[in-house]
Formats: sequence, structure tokens, C-alpha cells
Amino acid sequence: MTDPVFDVSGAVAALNQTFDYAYPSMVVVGELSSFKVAKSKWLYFDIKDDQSKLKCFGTVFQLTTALEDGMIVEISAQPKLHNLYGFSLNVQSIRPVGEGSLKKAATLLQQKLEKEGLFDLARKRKLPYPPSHIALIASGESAGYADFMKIIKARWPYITIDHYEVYVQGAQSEESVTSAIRKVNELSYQPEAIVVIRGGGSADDLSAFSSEIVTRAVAASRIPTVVAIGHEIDSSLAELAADLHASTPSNAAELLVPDRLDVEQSLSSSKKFLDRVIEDELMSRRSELEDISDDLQSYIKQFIASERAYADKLHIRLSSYHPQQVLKHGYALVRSAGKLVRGRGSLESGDIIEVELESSKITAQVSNVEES
Amino acid sequence: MAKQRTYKDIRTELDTIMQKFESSAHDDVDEMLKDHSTATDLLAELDSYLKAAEVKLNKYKSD
Repeated sequence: MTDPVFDVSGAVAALNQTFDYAYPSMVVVGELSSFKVAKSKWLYFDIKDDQSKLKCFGTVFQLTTALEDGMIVEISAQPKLHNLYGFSLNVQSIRPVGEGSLKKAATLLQQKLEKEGLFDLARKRKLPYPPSHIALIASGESAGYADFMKIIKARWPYITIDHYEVYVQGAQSEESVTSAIRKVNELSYQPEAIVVIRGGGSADDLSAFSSEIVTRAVAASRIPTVVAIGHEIDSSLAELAADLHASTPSNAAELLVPDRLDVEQSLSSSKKFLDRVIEDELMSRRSELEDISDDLQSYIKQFIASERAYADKLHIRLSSYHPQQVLKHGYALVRSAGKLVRGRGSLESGDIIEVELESSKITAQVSNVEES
Repeated sequence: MAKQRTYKDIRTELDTIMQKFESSAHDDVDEMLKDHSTATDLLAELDSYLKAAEVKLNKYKSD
């Protein structure tokens, strides 16, 4: 059997055919080195270990997070032999792996997004408290979901929760969570808040919530957001971008709604306080009214007394004006034919007159009339 | 139905009669007696008014 003979281009084509057949795609894990971005579009870097190094080529569209030399990455790529530049791995996806690299990637991305102002306190919006309707983005089978629902039901069962089932780890999680956030934002009848939760896990498990796409989706949400990822010690970029950051799903439920028992107690205290205030006010007004009433009665009493004194005075004066009083002093009333005689009048000698004294009446005849 | 006279009506009428007595405006003893009788009635009416007012006032106080 003789060895095949190729010209150079034929050899390149034959080798590429062999790669396509044997390894149409391969996953390689190694340390990132010589990482650079050309013309804001092309990625060039090497992936290496202690003994070997491979050249890699890709586009920025495959980047899901910030990368830096020294980070351990996992790439999915096609091996290719270029007719001019030699062998390289054509990268289809790249992601940091291992806790150190993930943290490093998150730190780099955090610095980038911080510069853009995504985590500024000024961007934080106030959530309605308590909300009446929320969208919950979580995995329905997770412990975090169960904890959240249990606490909400115990504290404030008056809330409507629309659950959006998502992947919270793995390759599909970033797209799944991002799509759910966008979908809720496009609803015509929107909830008052979006709550994104996930229970604890390894740094790799939680990495979707520190990815650029999820962090940006949270920051871009028109509906206020609450994000709680992992345990208290965990921190994700999505939490930093959220309007409200909770340490755990349980904590998110506690921050989102009040405890109805506390509210009932507070309302009861407020009612007692208001009752007391109203009672005090009523007592004060009643006292004022009593004072006014006393003043009024005193005024009327005084008026009546004054009028009575006036009436008594009139009574005495009136008594003195009675003609009978004059008769008591020895005067007499003289009438002729029933009419009072004043002066001489028409009296002539011989006329009959009636003389009224204090206690008697006399009928007499005029014997003489003289002018005085 | 005749309108009931007010305290003020009675007081005014009484003052008018008293004014007549004060200024010796009577030229007839009968008219004087008639006015005297009217004034006495008016005084009694005035007294009733004041008594009724006192009763009302005491009632408000006890309420």
C-alpha cells in the first residue's frame, strides 16, 4: 500500500475532511491566554495546559461574559486547518469554568456594567408594598420556590402570583430566564413586580444569574424587580441590577410582603390610638360646649332677672298711677250724668252730681256754682 | 288664627301705656282706668313669659 500523495491544498482539504468526520465538534477545557478582540468583532486566543497550546478563533457574539487571560474556560469548537494560517479551533461557544474563573469573569463583567451605571442606586425603584400581583420566575421544582411560596402564603395570602417556569442552571438557563423577564414586560396586563429566585448551588450552578444577558434583562425591566439567588453568602450580578436584592428566596418573600399578624396588630394599635384621640377630642369639645352653654344660660338668666326687675318697677309705678291712689289722699271724683266733671263744666245750681270718695260714693245736689 | 304676641310686642305696648302715664296724657279717668287694667294684664303676661323662660332654662340645664 502506497502513501497518498496530495498537493498542499489537497492535503489541507483531506485533513479538514478527516476532522469533520472524526470530530465535527469538540469540547476543550484549558487556560485562556493571549486573549484579544480585533475590530470589535473577532476573537483570537490560545487555550493551553502545562504541555500544549492550541490557537482559537471566534466572534464576539459567542461571548456571554467578560474573559481574561489566566481564566479556565470550556470551549465548544470545530477543529480546522486554514490554508494560510494553519491549525485552529473555530469556537462555537466559550464559558468560564471552575469557581476562580467564574468569579473572575463575574468581577470583570461587574466592573464593565458598573461603568455603564446598571447598578446605580439612583436607578432603583420603589416596589409597591405589599404588591397585589407579581410574576415569579423560578423553577417550580426547586427548594427556593417551595420556601418562597410557603412564606408568602403564611405572611400575606392576598397576592396573585403568576409563575413562569424556567431553567435555573445549565446551558439553557440564561436564555430561559431572559426570555421570561422579557415576556412579562411585554404583557398587556402587567404585574406590579417581577421576582426572580433560585436556591443555593455551586458557583457554576448559579453562573447564569451573573451572566451579562440576564443582568441586562433585569436592569432593562420596566417592571420593578426583586432578585434572590442562592444563599446569604452568594452574590450575583442580577441581584445588583435588581431594584431590590434579597439574600435568599425566603428573604425575598419576607421583604416583598408584610406579615399579616404584624399588620393586624399594628392596625389594632392604630385603632386604639385613634379611638383615644377621638375620645379626647370629643371630651374637649364637650367641655367647650358646656362652657358655652353655661355662659349662654348665665346670660339668659341675667336677662330674665333684669326684665323681672323692670317689670316689678313698672308694677309699682303703675300702682301709683291708679286713680284710686289719688282718692286715698282725700281727693274726690265728681261725675255729672256719668261724665267726669273738670272745672266748672256745665254745672248749674240744682244739678245732681255723684261724688266718689276713697271708700264711698255720694249723690248730691249743687246749691251754688262759683268761679274760683 | 291670631298670631301670638311676642315678648317684644308686649313690652312695647306696655312701654307705650307707661309713657302715657308718665307724661299725664290721659284726660279721661275711664281711659286711665282702662289703660291701667291693660297695663296690669300686660305685666301679668310679661311675668308668665319670664316664668316660662326660667322653666325652659332650668330644663336645658338638667338635660
